[in-house]
Amino acid sequence: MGSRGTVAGNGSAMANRGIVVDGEDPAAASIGARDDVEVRLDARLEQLPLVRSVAVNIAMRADFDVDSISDLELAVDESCSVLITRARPGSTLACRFTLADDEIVFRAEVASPEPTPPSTSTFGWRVLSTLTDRVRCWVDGQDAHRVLYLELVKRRPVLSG
Amino acid sequence: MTEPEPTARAGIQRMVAITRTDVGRKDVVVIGVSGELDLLTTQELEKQLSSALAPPNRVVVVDLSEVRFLGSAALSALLSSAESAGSNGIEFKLVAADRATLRPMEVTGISSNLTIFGSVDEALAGVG
Repeated sequence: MGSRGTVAGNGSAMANRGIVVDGEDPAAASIGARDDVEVRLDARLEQLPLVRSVAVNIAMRADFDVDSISDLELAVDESCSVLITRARPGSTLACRFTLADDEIVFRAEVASPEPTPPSTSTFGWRVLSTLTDRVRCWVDGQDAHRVLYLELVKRRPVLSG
Repeated sequence: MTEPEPTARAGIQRMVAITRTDVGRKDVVVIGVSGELDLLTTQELEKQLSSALAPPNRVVVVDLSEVRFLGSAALSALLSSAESAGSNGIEFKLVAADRATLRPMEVTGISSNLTIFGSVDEALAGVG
């Protein structure tokens, strides 16, 4: 029967999300975790420069061009700003960069008391959706276990000529 | 926004420096910014902008040449400053010369609502 159902009681962060899976992170199922980079830090705005510099380094390593690196830096900064300003006090911001062949997936999560994701009609959200190829934000879990997620995808631009 | 805590304040000072340069004209203000403008540090810029964008000032120049990162809070602050300057009859000019600042303004489309120059001298040329 494998591990089905064990997640809800194992005391890990997964147990707090109110979702039942086969004991693995659903987002990681089809992607080798070997090249992933994870950053966990206090959910405070003073940490933004650190996450930005990680984003820049990863984009450089993935051979993104100057403008795409700048776009990813801005998008990651905006994502983390959104999560940090909605974080439960004293909580941890967990960020994960997944490198695929032609794209970088950035996914971040934080414990948040807010029952709904932030509005998509703000200037900040417009910036996020302009700078990325895909972005979504959602809430999972109940009450004290509520978690706010944000995921974005930035593709490597197709080189012309 | 509320006043940042002491640790946040130290963080702001490490990340950004905002200085007002005297150009010898009472009604012309040049604000030089260096460092990174994100959600935390933009609060500092907003303070300077709101005090500068008032009579008797007639021209306000914000020099972003030494800015290495321009986040959405800063983009939004620059855009609303341009609007408020316009409605108060104040000329609001930006100086930006490299990709770190030009790219965010271009890709978000706000550069069309801003007046951008390559240097402070260019921004001040023709200011009577």
